[in-house]
Amino acid sequence: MPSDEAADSQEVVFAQFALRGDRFENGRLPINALVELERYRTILLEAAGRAWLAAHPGSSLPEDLDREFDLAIREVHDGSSISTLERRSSPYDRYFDIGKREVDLLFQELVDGLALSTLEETDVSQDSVAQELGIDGVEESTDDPAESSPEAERLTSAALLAYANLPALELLGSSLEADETAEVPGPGSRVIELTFAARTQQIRPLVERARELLAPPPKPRREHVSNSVAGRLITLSPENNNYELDTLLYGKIAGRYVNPELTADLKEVLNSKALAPVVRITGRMSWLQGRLTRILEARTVELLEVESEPWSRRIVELASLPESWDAEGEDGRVISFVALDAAREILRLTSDMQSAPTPGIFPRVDGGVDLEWSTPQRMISVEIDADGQFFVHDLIVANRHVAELATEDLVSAAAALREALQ
Amino acid sequence: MTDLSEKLLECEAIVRPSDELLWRQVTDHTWDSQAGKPGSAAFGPMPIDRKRPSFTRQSVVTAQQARDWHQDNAKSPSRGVWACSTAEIDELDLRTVDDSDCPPEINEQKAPGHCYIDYRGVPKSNERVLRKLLLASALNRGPVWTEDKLQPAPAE
Repeated sequence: MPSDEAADSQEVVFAQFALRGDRFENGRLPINALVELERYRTILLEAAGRAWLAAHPGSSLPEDLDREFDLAIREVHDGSSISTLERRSSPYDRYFDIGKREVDLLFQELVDGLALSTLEETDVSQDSVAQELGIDGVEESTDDPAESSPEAERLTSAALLAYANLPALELLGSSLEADETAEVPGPGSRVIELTFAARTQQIRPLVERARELLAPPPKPRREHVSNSVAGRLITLSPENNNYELDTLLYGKIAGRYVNPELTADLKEVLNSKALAPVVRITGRMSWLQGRLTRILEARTVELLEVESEPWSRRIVELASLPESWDAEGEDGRVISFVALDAAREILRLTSDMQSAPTPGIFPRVDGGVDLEWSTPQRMISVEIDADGQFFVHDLIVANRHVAELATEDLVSAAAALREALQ
Repeated sequence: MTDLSEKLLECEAIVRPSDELLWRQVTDHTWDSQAGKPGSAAFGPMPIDRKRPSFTRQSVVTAQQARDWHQDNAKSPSRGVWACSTAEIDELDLRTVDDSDCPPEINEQKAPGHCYIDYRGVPKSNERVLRKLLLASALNRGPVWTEDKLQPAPAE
C-alpha cells in the first residue's frame, strides 16, 4: 500500500447492479448469476487501473490495486435482484471513482451505438491506436485524473479497444437468457439496460471489431508469377546460369536461367556497343508485396540500346514498366522494344530541329509509345503501336485543321513529322 | 459531339458552360517529367473511364483540395493539376456532367465535386482531336499551382 495515501475502513455505496427477469423476482439472486457481478467488477478494476496509469506514466500497476478494490454486496432489494455494491475505503479511492465514471460512460456509449461507430471509423495506423498497442491502451496524461470529467467526453478508440479486449466485457450477460436484462449505472442518474439486443448487436460486434483491429497483419505472401523487368545487366555467370540486373524500379535483382541458349543473348548484351544497354527479361519471377525479389527463370531476353541522349532516361522509364502498369485501370501492356526503338529513331531524326518544342514521351496501354510536340497553338504527335506502325497527326488549334499519315515506314513518318515541325 | 441520345441518370446533371474550371489530376503515365508537360491522353478517356474521364468542379473544391483528395484515395498519385473550362468543353460539342449526387459504384470512391466529360458516342478518330484541343486549352492556361502533400516542397 502506498505510504502517501492513507486509508480508512469506511464502507461507501459504490454502484447498483440489477438483474431483471423471472428468475430474479422477489430479490432472488441465483448463484450462477453471481458471475455477472464478478465481470462487472473486473471491468471497473480495469478502468481504475487505466486511471492510475494515466496519472503515473511509466509506472507499473500497484500489486495491491486488485486487493484494495474490495467490493461487497450490501443488500439485495425486493422486486428483481438489485444488488447494492459497497466499496471499502482505500488509498486508491480516487482512481476507483474515476474508473467508475469511465465505465458508466462506456456502457452508455455501448447501448447508444457510439462505441461501435468509433471503432468502425478507427484505423490501426491512428496514433492513439498505435499507443494502445504499445502501452495497453492508457493515454499518458499530465492532468490530475481526479479533475477529468469523462461524462463530458467520448471514449477514445484506444480506451474502447482496451475494454473490448477484456473477456469480462465480452462475456458480460452471457449467463442470462434472451428475456433477461442486466442493469448497470450510466452517467448521471441514467440506468443502462444491457438487453439481449445490446449484448448481441453492440457488445459482440465491438469485440469482433477490436479483434480485427488488433490482429497482427497477415504475413506477406511471396508470389511466383510471370512478368517482365528491364534494367542494366551488371554481371553474368554462364557456368552457374545466373546474372545480376540493376533495375530502375526494384534496384539490383539476381536472376537465373535454365535455357543455355540464353547465354548467347546475355553475352550479346554485355558486348553491346551501346553506352548503356538496357535488357528486358521476361520469365517467372518472385514477388513480395508488389516488389520483385528474384528472377526465378528467364525465358526471353531483349536488348534495347540506349545511348546518352536527352530522351534516354524517359525511354528507360518506359522500358521498365511492368505488365499492368496502369494503376488506375489495371491495364497496360509492357512497352514493346520495337516501339521504343522506333520512338528513339524518330527522336534522333528530328533532334536537329531547334525550334521544335520538347517532345513528351508517353506509354500507351497497347504497349506502344506516343510522342507529342504540344503547344497551345499546335499539337503534333506520332503514335507508335507495339508492332512499330506509325500514325502522324498534326492539329492546328486555331482552325482545327488536321493532317495525318498512317505508315509502317520510319522514314516516311519522320519526313511527315519534320514537315509539321517546320 | 457527345451522343445526346445517351440518357443521363436521374442523379446526373449537365453543367452549364461558363468560366468555371474543371480540375484534372495528371498521373504518372500521362506526365512526362523530363519534358515537364502532360500528354493529350490526360484529357481523353482511358479504358477504365468508359468514355467518361473524371474531373472535379472549381465551384465545389479548390485545386488543392482536389489534389489532396486524389493523393489520399486514388491508386496512382497526381503529378499536378491542369484545367479547362466548361465553356471550352462546350465549344467542342462535348457535355460536362455533374454526377456527384450519384451513389458510388462498388469499390468506387467519388471525389467531392466529381463530374465527367461525356465522350460517349465520340468516334475514336475524333477523340484524338478533342483531347488535343482540351490539352491545348490547359497548356494555354498553364499548370494550376498546388502543393503535393505526398512530396512536400523542400524547405528554403
